[in-house]
Amino acid sequence: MRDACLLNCIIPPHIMMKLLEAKDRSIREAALNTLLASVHVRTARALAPGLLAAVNSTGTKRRTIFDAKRNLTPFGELVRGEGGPASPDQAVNDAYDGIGLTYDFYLEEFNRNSLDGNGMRLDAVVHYGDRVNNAFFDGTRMLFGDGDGARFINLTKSPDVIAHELTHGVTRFTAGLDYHKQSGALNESVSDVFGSLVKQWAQNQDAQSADWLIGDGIFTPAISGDALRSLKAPGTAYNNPLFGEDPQPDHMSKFVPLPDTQAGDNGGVHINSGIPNHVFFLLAIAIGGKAWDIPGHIWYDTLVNRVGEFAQFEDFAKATYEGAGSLYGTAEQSAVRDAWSKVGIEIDFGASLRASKDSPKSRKGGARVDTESLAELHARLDRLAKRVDEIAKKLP
Amino acid sequence: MHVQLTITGGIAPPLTGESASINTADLPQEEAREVQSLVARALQEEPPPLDPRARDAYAYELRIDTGDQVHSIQAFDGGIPPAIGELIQCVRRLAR
Repeated sequence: MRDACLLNCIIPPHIMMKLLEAKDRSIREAALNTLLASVHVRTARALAPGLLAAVNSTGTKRRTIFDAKRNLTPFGELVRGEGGPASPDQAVNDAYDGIGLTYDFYLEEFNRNSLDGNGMRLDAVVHYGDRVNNAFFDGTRMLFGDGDGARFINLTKSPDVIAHELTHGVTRFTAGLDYHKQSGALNESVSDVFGSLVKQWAQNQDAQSADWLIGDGIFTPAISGDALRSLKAPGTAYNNPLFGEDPQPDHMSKFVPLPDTQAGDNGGVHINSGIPNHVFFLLAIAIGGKAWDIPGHIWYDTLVNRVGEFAQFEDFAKATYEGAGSLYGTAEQSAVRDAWSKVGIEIDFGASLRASKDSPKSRKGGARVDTESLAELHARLDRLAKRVDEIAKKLP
Repeated sequence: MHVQLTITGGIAPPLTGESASINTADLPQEEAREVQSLVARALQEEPPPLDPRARDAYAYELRIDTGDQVHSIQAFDGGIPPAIGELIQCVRRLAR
């Protein structure tokens, strides 16, 4: 009862200071207890997300696959853990392998240990719902539908779809690109870019020989169409009576303004992603070689170090230009500038120079942010604890 | 009773979206009873809003016209209450 009172009573700081100096010992003790309880609750609240991340972080690759058994639930029966034997269920193995491939790609190419950069465990749920035509990231895990067999096959069959979903997790822990309008389209584009790169990396393909498709083979044979999206030629991935024509633009002049609603795809995040998607393709072709090398590192550096959650296409363009100069040189910068120019986005060099000093870098690497915020929290708690000690010593 | 389901969102909207509808008057008695029971249970549930961290998730909109009243339910992947989940799957299955 007393604790409940302490936790629920909100006392302004100036009144609390008066109470701590009260002549009546019982009032002073009550005030001190309230202050200590407040510190306790605040500490618990502040530390909870970090502790949760620490609990979920294994420090190494740890995949866990669950079976939702065709229910619309994000939970299910554990069917395969890290290092466990292959399952008789191919969807389980496909999810396990696709997640492992993506984990290996980020670790080997970018020295990134899982989604959060700190070994976060990788959970996935297969057989989500009955014949669901979708795969998604719910903020902590990936969920895969089986497809209805009429339009889509099992979504676990596509390693680039798996990498796409996992990259949403990487973006969450880095730039945190807001999932609306242009920043949302960048969020989607980053997932498509790295989804395609994971597939190219697995096949050791160079930029010229890659198909640059997302979700190729995900349609049933009854559906004519190459894939969900094409980075090489946005707007051409499919064209059939059932789905209509691929609506992705490849140039700012074709930007599709949609309402920022669920029905409007949050302002066309899956539609206008075609524009930055095509920029990456153009850059990869211009530079040549393996696309995950120079272009991939410029994009990764931008995502992790150079843009904030509300970045627009122009912000991302400037950031990639700056990153190319910082990581490589003028030739790569020119290639970046030309690629953006070809889709109708000109980099403002004056603004770019200013942006290099003022650009929001509030959300860099996930682990770094956690470390910074925890260090700040520790300092604040230290100061508060010292203050409480001082007050306690003054109590008779 | 008429139940209309609209699914939007997904990894590649509008490809991944769909809609389905059923009318209990057109269904065998047993299935009609199943729908009515699920609707009664679903209307007792309060689905949470979309988790802002979710990406490529579906939004499910159920419009239930009982003849006397029209009810609307919106739910999102990752937070679908049990009866609403069963009703969504039931409508999809019976509408095929």
